[in-house]
Amino acid sequence: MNPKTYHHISSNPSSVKSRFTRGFLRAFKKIKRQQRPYLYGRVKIAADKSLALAVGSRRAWSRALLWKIHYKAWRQRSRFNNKKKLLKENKKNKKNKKKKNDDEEVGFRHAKELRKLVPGGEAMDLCSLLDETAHYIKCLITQVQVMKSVDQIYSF
Amino acid sequence: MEIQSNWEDQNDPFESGLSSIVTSPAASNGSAIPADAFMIREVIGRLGNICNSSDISPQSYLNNTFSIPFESKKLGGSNDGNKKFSRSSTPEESSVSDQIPKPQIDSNPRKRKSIPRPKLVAETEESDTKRSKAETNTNDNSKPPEPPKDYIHVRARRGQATDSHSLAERVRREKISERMKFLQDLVPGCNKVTGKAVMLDEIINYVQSLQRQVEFLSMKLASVTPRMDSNMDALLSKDMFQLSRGSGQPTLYPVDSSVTLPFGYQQELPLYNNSNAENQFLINQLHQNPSMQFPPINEAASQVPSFWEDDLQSLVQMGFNRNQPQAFHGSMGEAQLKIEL
Repeated sequence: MNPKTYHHISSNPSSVKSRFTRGFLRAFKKIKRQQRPYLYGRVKIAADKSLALAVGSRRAWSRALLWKIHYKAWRQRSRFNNKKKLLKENKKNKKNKKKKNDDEEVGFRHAKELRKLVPGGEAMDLCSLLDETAHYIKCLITQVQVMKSVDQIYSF
Repeated sequence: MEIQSNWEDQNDPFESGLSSIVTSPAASNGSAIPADAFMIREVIGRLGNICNSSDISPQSYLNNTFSIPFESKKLGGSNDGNKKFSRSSTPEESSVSDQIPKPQIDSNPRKRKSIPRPKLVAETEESDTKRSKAETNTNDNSKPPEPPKDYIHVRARRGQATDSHSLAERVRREKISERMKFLQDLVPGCNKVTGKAVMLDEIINYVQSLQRQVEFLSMKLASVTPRMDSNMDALLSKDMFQLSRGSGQPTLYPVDSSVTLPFGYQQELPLYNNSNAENQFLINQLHQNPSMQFPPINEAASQVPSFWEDDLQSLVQMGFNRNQPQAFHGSMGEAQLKIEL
């Protein structure tokens, strides 16, 4: 892949959008070249990963997303290596840590659901949860935009 | 010091503070000097309280200016508090309240109730520099019951409870509503909606639909055939240019088939012939108006989940009614996806 092709990006070459585009395209082409199975899962993971990388560690949700991806990859690898004991321990640890957040104000049910949707939302208080949701929505929109246009190009 | 730490805890309404100030100078007339120091510090404290409380009536102002020079004359130079008071013979609220926080800082800092008035701007700025973490009521503060060395400038409104808990609560609530407003602007179709619960519902729906779109697109991309790399690079570079610009650049390639947007939204997109202009139009649409896809989300919200839950094929056919039937299951036939350049 020729990096010179990207010099066209004139306005704000370091925005989240352009960083995500570059990262995603790179990963996508790599996936296409390989002949491994489970393409769909890979593409989705690549998309999420490159989005989180584009955002960086500034935001709690991007950190949580990256951690989740790494953790899942680690779990897969250790499952492949038959290290089941470690997995069981981790599951137990995760279940015991339940932080009580004050959600009664805004509606307990809604806040819980929102926490499930936004990566890393479990451990945040309501204020920062709303903050992260706003930024997450913005980034999701750019992600969808970029993937749509990539898809367009590829389907011609 | 005990004495200094006490005055902040006295959350008296300022009327009682007034009366105490009027009486205290008289009381301290004939007492010994340590007791005077005590009285003076109390007076300082109460004056500070009055100055910083929500409305300072002219009467209290008069009382302030009256009592201060009295005190300084009587006990000139006996203790530190007086030295500071000698400066304050000019009747300015800012100077009075200015000196009060200074001895305060060494003791346990508490939550201060101050008003960002134009007069007191100097005071708040000066005292801000002195504190390690002073925060105004517009800044982000996720934990109002803060550890020591944190300040929150909260407007203590008249007629409302002034204890720290309710103030903290109010600050929190204001922040939350501020963020909800911002989210309202972000999520399309939320302008008419009022109330946090419904808003949250909308937000949840929106996030879910966005995530599903990402899944859907990744599925679609997974079944796409890679083409000649050099051509792709050119196309991709053009794509990125368009992404950044958002405006139309004439595209290099003719369009044979119509472009599909199979999201089931009630969006009328024109059918595409072999024209560059229309393709360009579509790309512009996509880049500039991503939210165009989402306005019917409220009506379609009930429909969309059913779309997604159903068989993917039926979804594909629903979206492709007007267009050439295309399948993007990998098994179905990448041959059908062929398009000639």
